[in-house]
Amino acid sequence: MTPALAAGDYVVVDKLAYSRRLPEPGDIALARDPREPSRVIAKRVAALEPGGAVVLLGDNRDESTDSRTFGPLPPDALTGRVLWRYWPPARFGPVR
Amino acid sequence: MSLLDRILRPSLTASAHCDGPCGVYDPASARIAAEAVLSMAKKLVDLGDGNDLATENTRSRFIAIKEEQAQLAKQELLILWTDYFKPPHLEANPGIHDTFWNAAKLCSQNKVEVNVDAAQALVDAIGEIHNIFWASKSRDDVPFYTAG
Repeated sequence: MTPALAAGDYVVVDKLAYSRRLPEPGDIALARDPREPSRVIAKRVAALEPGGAVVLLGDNRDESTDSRTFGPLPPDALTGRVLWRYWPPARFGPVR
Repeated sequence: MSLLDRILRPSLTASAHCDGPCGVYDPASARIAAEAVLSMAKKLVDLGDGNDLATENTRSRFIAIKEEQAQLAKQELLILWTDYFKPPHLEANPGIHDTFWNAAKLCSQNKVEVNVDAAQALVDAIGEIHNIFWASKSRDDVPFYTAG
């Protein structure tokens, strides 16, 4: 997810974001990895399909494993929305 | 783990850009690919100019492997350069960008040419990156060796 997120960033996540509203393209969402549900992944919402399935794509398109590999996810696979980075201090601020 | 880190550390870890949890980096993968490039360059030179079918076949295979391994070396270098190395490393080693740029360019040169010197230069450049990498982890117990 470079450059939006770097390895080792500490971020604040709104875990209730998607109980209040639908995911929107541009959001950085946490989701359960469909290939290994114990693992949580952070990806950007690229699109919502007509049935409500969410297409997730990594920003670092060359390296990312995302909906191109595992397909769109049901909305309830999304577990939160990344809001702010609080560490490292030099990059403190909203995650866009 | 410091007290500060214990306080700040999030309760959940999310993965964002590769198949495994991040944090395992080693220039060894680039070195092995570069050594394969060097080996193929030497074998291509040794193979000579024969153009019978068997020689052409062998030459094609050597070239294919050289191309593939040079590309792999470049990919492994880019992962180190763009994912592992962070701004604080750059402060300690202002030459990092030039070092990686030159090493990546050598990967390209080795794809274009059959050039034993350029292949050796690539291995040497990765040796330099090996030293910078392990120094950044305060490790002085990892020797740079070659398998070939």
